[in-house]
Amino acid sequence: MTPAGWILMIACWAVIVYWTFWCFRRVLVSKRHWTNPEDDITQLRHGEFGDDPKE
Amino acid sequence: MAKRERWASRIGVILAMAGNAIGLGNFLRFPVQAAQNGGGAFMIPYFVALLIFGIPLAWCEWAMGRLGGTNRHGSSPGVLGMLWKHPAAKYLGALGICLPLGVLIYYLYVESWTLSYSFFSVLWDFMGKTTMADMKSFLTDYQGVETKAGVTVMAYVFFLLTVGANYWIMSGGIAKGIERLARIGMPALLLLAVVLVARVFTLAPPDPAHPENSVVNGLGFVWNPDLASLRSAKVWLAAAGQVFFTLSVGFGSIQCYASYMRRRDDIVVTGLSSSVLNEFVEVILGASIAIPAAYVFFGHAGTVEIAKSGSFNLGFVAMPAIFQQMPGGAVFGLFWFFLLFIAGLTSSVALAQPAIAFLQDELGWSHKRSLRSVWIFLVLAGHVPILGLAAGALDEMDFWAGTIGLALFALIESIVFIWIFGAQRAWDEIHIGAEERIPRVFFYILKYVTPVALLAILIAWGWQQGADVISMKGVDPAQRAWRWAARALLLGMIATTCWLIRRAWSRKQEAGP
Repeated sequence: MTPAGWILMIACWAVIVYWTFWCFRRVLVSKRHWTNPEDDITQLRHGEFGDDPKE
Repeated sequence: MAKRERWASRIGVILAMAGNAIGLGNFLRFPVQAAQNGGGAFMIPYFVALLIFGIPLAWCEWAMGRLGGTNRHGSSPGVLGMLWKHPAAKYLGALGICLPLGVLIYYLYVESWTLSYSFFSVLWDFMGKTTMADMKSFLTDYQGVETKAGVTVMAYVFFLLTVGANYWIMSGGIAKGIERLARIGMPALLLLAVVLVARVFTLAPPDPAHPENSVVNGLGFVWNPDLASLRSAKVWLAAAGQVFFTLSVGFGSIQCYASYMRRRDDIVVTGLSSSVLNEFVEVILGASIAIPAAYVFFGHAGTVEIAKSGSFNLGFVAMPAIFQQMPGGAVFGLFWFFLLFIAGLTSSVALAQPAIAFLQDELGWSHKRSLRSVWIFLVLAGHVPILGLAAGALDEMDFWAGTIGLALFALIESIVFIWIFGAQRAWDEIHIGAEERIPRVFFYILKYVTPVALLAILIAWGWQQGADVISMKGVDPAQRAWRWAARALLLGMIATTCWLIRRAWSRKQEAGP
């Protein structure tokens, strides 16, 4: 690999890793996790998700 | 009125959206595109396209979808009809259903190859087939392209198994089906990809006489920049195409997923997180597995040939040949193909959801009825790319639905949302509930740069290749019937969707406000 290849690879990786950690840190420290209090999905089985619209 | 489904959690929606974006293209298409288009220099137009098309358009689609969801519109006809009070708007939205469905018709078949190859890896069916020619012959024998029927029983059974797996997941709905798949599948995918990268990075050159066939030089094959390539329009178009494809913008599936959010749920950080996770998988993990491994075992000249022969050859021909020459190859082969299967599965459920949401939200069908109707159609329509594989029916569908269609629908979305709905209203809509402000420069990018660049790409394509592609110049006459069948299928889907839209809106008018 040429020096230019190393520089490009490391620069791209650094930008993406920094960006990823920034985003996920922002999401994980946020108090807004949106777990919907109206729908307790832990009580549902596969295929159950409330009423369908009437046909 | 029954309550509309919602995502259960924020991390679930990020993983589901990332799963929508992360597909076979991250591991197969991206490294080939980078290697063919200037190596590391490809990353310059790639990042430019990411900033001026990819991420801004993704934010637009998130905002349009969330707004549509508040009015029980989960698919593009309803969303565009809300944003633009013109009778034509809802018909333009037909593309937001037909493009993902058109891609899904052939994607399910390709996804089924990843499932079958996972089994073949465990059963060691490739045993002794260490050359590219042997593996190519294994693939064509499996697909049955040279048989009278055009498909083998084995390939057909795996296609049906894949269709069944997708159906089972979708039958769980949004939170219990798609979100649960993302919560399990995405961490598994990341883990498998990291294990494979670690294995590739510890590979020693198999032939001591050729120490230059190393992983570092394999990475160099992907990353060494050919700066002269930046002067080629083809490289810039390839980068833009890759960004569209990888982020799934212009498909309508982001809109659809976002419609299951609540009005004040953040989309700025959430949307960025899913896009960035996709980039992590594509640029860091995707580029570090297949091409570097191919370089170690086939050397520079062999890897050039593999890159030229395209993504499918890299994934289904070169990689199985490599795993046979690698210690623990059966296990790593299983990891590779199962990784591709998970990536395919999380994308295919996203491609199906806009059609299901349309039938539920606009025609008032039950989830079960919508799901069954879409799946019956998929199985029947799937015979076009399956039986016409050798004649290029799959490539034809990929070109119209998965390439040109994306740019066209992204342009429509961008004009309707930014220019008709209003740039400032669109900007405000994106920022409802936002945890971060988007830098103002993106307002001008969205307003001017994105639509102009999209229009320029479409005009340049029409000018340079449009007539030749439409008239199938240079295509073997024996292949034309299947290619026309693929085109007729896509046109028929658009016509049928427009008819269903008309029916749905007439029904709503009759029902009154």
